[in-house]
Amino acid sequence: MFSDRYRKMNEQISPGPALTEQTMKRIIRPRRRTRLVLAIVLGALLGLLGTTALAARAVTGDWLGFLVKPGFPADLAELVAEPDTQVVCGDYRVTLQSAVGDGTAYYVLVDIDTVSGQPLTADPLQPLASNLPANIQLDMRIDSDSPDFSGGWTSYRIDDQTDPARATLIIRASLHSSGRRPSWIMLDIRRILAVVPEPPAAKQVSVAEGTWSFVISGRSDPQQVTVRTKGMTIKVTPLSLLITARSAPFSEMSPLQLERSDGRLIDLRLIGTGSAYDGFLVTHWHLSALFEEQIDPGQVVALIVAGERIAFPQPNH
Amino acid sequence: MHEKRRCTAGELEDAIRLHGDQVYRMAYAVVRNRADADDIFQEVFLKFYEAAPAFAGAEHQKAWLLRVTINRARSELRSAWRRRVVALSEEVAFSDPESNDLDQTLRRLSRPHRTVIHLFYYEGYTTAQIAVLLGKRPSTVRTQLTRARASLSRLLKEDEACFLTVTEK
Repeated sequence: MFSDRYRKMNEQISPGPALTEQTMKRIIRPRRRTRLVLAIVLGALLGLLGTTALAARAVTGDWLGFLVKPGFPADLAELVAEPDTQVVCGDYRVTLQSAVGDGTAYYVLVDIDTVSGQPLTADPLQPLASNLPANIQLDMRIDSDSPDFSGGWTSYRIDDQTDPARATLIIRASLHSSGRRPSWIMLDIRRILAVVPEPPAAKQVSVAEGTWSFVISGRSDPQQVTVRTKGMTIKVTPLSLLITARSAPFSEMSPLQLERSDGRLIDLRLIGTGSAYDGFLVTHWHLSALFEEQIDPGQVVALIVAGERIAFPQPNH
Repeated sequence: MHEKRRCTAGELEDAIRLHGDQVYRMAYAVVRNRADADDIFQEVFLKFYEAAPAFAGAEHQKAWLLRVTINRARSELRSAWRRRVVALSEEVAFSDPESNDLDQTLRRLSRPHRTVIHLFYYEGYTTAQIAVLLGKRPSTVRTQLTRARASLSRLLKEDEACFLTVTEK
C-alpha cells in the first residue's frame, strides 16, 4: 500500500543529532555565532585566465595533474591564477590550491586547517579506513554566472589523515546549463563537518560554521560530444557525463560505464540525479557523473547503464 | 518598554524533541534535498524561538510548525539562489531500494502535489485540515490531492515498466 511505503521511507528521514545540536547552539547563543559569521572574507576574485593547457600542467603539478593527459585533443583549463589563495573565518582557514575544469566539470583542490594549529574538531580525529567517503565533509553551495544551471558536487579527503589539524580535499562539481558555459563559479562553503567513526555507524559532527567563498574563473571550451537518443540528451566532456531527459529513463543506474572505440570500459562515479524546476514545474531530469581522469570524448562509442548498452551514432560531435 | 518574549532554551528543546522529525520530514517532502531541508529546519525553529507563540496544545504547536515549514520551503524553491543552484550530492540514501525508488519518483511531482501527499499520507490530516493549514479552500485541496494521486500512480507505473524493461534483458 502506498501509505505504508511512504511512511516507511519517511521514518528513515531525520534531522539527526548533529543538526539538532547545531540548531540549539545557533539559536540560543546567537552572539557568539554572529562573530564567526561576521568574519566572512570573500575569496579573491580571480581574473579571467587566458592560460594555456601547458601552463595549467605546470600549476597543477603533482595534485590535479593526474587529471590531465598530455597529447589529448581536449585540453583542460587551469582555473586558478594564484595558487594558495586563503580564506580565514574564525580560526578556520581554507586554502585553494588549484582547480581544473572543462566548463562542465570542475575539480578543486583545497586544504583546511586552523590558524591556531588546534585540531579540526574538539574530539581527536581517529584514523579512518582509506576507502571513501572521507571523514571531513563540506556543506557548500555553488553559484555561477551561467543562467539556469544545475548540477551536483561531492568531496573526498585525500591526505593521509595523520594530522588532526589539517585536511586536504578534492571537490568535484558537475554543472550543466541550457545556455552558455560559465565564465566563473563560486564555491561557498558554509560548514566544515567531520565524520567520526562510532560503531556500528558513524557520527557526523560540525567542526566549524562560517563562510569560505572562492571564485574560480576562466572559460574552458574543450571538445565535447552530444548524442540525442531514446528521448535523452547525453553529453560527454573530457571530465564528465551528463544525461538530461524529460523524466528518469532508468530505474537502475549502476554500474554506469562508457565504452571506448578500443573496447575499454570506463567506470563512472555517479555524482547525483535529480530534477530541475522552473518555479514549481519540473522541467527535466538529469544525471551527472565524473571521470577519474581526462578522456577523449571523441573515442566514446556507447553508454552502458546497468547492463543496457546505448550506442552512440558515429560520428556526432 | 516591553522586551519581546522569546522562548526559553527548554521550550525550544522540547519543541525540537517533540516535532523536530516532523518538521524535517515536511521540509524534505517539499524540497527533496537534505541541504535545503537542513536550512529550513534551522530557520523554522529560529522563528519559533523568536515568535514564542502561545499554543492551545501539542497538535496546535505541530500545525504551526508545519505551516511555517511549508511557507519557508516555498520561499526556498522560489528564491533565485534555489533556481540557480540545485544541490544533488546530498540526496538521502535509504536503506531499502523501494524507498530510494519512491524518493526518486516523488522528485518528479510538483511542489504542491508533494506537499498535499505528505500531509495526507504521512501526517494523516484530512483534506479539510490541510485546507486550513495551507490557507486554501477544501475543494482546491481535494482537487490537488486527486491530481497528485493520478500523477503519482502514472509515475509509479512508468517506473515499474522501466524496471521490467531493464531487468528482462
